[in-house]
Amino acid sequence: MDKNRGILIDTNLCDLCGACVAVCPEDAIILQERNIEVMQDRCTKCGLCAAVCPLNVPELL
Amino acid sequence: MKKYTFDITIIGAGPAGSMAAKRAAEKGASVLLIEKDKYAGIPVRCAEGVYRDEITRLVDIDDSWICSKIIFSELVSPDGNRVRAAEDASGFILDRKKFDQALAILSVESGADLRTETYASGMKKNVHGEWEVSACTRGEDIKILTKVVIGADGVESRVGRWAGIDTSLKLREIESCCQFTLADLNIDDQTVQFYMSKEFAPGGYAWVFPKSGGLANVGLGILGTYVKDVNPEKSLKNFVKRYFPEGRVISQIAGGVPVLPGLKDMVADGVLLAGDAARQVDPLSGGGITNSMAAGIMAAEHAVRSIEQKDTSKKNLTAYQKEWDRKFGKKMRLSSKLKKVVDDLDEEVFNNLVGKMSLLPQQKRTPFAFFKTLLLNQPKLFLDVAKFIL
Repeated sequence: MDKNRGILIDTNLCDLCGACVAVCPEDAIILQERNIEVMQDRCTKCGLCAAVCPLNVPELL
Repeated sequence: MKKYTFDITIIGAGPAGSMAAKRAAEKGASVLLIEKDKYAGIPVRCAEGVYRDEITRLVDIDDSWICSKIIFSELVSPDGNRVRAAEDASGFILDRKKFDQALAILSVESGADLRTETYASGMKKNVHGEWEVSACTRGEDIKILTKVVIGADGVESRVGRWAGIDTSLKLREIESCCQFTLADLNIDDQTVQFYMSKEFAPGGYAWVFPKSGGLANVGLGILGTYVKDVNPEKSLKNFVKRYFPEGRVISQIAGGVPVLPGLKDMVADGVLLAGDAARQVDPLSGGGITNSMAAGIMAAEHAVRSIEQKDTSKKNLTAYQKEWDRKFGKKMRLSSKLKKVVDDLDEEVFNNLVGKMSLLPQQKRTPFAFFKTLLLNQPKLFLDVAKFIL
């Protein structure tokens, strides 16, 4: 993975609400029953997920 | 890998999905309703308010689904003045856990198959033009072969994207929300409260929806474009400290609420979207329960019709979008327009407005009067909004 790209979403801090999934232009975030995952190869590090998160969880790597 | 075959597969057992499953099964289709969580309705991600007129048209309400019956609504201006609106805000604060489970059960009683803990991970079209949905059910990978997919998979919907519809929201099209359920409140159980404030909820508002017994859903929504300046969680803590210092937080949820007048495309070949997935939430209020239920019923009827006609093409399913637009389009566009007006109001104007409203007799303080008073004082806005009302 390119070290300059990517987003970290800590499942422990996340409420799994899906707001970030809704704004992700690349369909790069997968929300399951108990975890959330970023497909780093799709992520363009646009930061919209971090910008919308009610709990300020996503971190740009 | 196990394969299953159904006429219609519905993804997401919220109000849109369960109503769709119920109606499609009533119409004789074979229906699979899948839900990623263990129980429909859990976790609750909602302020739980509905208007009485709207919900009773859609389902026979059972008293056990209702936490409190609302008669009054109160608007609180940025400077803290309150005005009680006319009694036309009659509604219910639901218990969504019970409500969503009851709707899911209604769909099963009508003949739908419900599978919880079942997560759809993708779908693709086969050579016969049918959809093959990949899912994982309680740890086991399965394939579902289906003529029509109804995506009722919430704000985080991916069904639309899988079918080639761009459902991604801009920051100005989503409210970033946080809500506490507070206990030990000394509030009137028959009154919902709306707080307008650029300090606490820029591009949105804060709400207090009583659930009786001193409990209430207290939350706020901030337009996505402002979240970098005002964090919803921190802001809600400050809001509670200011207005409800006695409140004890017993649970907290986050959420995203779409606030746009509607999607350009709600259908694709063999696919219909309903509810939050189709962005059918009222943009001004952020309320989506009854819109979603109505859309679910509509989507199911068009899905069944298209299967009977042996034509599940986008072209044939577009009638669903047209019906939605005919019944809800005008209201959605007006709400969207009014939302922009309200979001851009100076706090001073709002303070004056609440002051003027409180001079009216209570029965005249309707939302219409509110906007009329607003617009008469803002002639430029009047022209802008008039074309939506007239």
